Amino acid sequence: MTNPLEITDLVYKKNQKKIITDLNLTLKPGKIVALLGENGAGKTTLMRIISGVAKNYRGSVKVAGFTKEADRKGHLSFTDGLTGFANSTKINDIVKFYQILYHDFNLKQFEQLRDFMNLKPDLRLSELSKGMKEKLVIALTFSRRVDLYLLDEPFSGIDAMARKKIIKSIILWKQEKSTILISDHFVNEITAVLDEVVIIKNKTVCMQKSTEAIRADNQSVEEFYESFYQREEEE
Amino acid sequence: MAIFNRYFTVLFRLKTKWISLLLIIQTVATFAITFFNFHNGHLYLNRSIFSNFFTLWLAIFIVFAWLFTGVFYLSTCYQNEHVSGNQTWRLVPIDDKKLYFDNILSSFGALLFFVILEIICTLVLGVVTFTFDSQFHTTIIEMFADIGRHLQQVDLEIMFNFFGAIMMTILCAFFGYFIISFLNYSSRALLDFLPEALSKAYFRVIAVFVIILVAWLAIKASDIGLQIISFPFRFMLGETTGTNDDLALALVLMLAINLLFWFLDTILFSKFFEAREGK
Repeated sequence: MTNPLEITDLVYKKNQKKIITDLNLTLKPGKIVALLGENGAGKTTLMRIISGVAKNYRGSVKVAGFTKEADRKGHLSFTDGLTGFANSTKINDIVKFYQILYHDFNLKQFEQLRDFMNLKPDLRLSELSKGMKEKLVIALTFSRRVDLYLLDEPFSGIDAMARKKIIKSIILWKQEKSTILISDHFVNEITAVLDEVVIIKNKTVCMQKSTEAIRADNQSVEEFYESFYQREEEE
Repeated sequence: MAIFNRYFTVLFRLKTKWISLLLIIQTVATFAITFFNFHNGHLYLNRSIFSNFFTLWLAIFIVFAWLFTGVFYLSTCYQNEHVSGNQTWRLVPIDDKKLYFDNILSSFGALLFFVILEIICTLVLGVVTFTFDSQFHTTIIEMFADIGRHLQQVDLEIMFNFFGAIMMTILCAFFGYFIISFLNYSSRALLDFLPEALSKAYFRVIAVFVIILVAWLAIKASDIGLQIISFPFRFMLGETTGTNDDLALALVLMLAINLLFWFLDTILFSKFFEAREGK
């Protein structure tokens, strides 16, 4: 089966400054992978390159075997901040937008997720708090049937209780063969669902390890991540 | 092709969303101006021509129609650039070249729709004025008779001039979209390419350059615009001056310039112009 994501020799520069250099990454189908790294490490940039909204990079990016940006966009779902909509836009209108433009959008799935998130369909964006907006973004992202889900810090504004509930349910919302790449600062909260950890440091992927292997070393993912940085600093 | 049509539909809806509001504002504003001018005697127009309330309203409405069409055109220009640089719109699985063309085409479609609505509103007000103002009634009948007489003299050259003027207006509208996109994309691409410190300084230079260019274009456009706007009136009065060669050459040149900018914009948009991060 084709890998949902294959990146080879990726280099990305902006303002003559290297943001990503010689990055290689392959994700297998059906995995939930954490993308970890410090602020400004290039996690969001990497996701934007994968989803075809960041330009002018070198190297190869394949999503479900497709290299063309339009095809890639059709096989991935990225947590977008919904900045394209006016604040007066109702949730219903956003759903219509998704229904018209994304052929893989599943309305039934969205209705279930919307209920789960306690979001009323006639609410306007201006009436949503940061956490509620993030819940809506998660519901929209998982209502598409795609090979790769890119979740860029999706829980930062959501309260702890709801966050735990959502994280536990993520595994139910994705299709069996779909892969999730998730960047988040709440490492300890997402570890339960993770299959792999990818760490970005010095503008490239410097570690990709399964959570099984980490636990075999009698370490939690959080401990592994912290000790990785400590080791690097000592060296 | 399906995604192209669906994307066009969504963009067209977005761009025509506030048309009704704009038309209501125009109608109310022109009514209010007419009302205060007519009843307070602050009329700077010819009293003998505008002796009827509706005639004055119609005249003011027509003047405002040009103004509001300009405002609406500028709003479509803004929306073009907003869509181009927005992550929500850029994440849609459509090829960038098609997205760019869809964006421009939907803007033009929205503009055309607005112009048609303006014409319909003017006609409705025209019919009301025609019914209530006997002087206007007579003038219109005379004018149509005059046009009828001139129509018998219509030859291929006049027809070409007439449709050429319409074509030139359409090309000018597209040119506006293309040049604004070009300035936006090229400056953004340069800012992303240059080192950060230099980039800020460069931005100021670009801003000054853009202001000068816009001023120059506005002066040029007003000359061309006046010629285009006055053409139908000159045609009605039987004054179709200018040669076919001039117009044909201008049309070909304008078409070539539009094609060139369309090509450049497409390259810049698909290869260098990034959507802004949307969190």
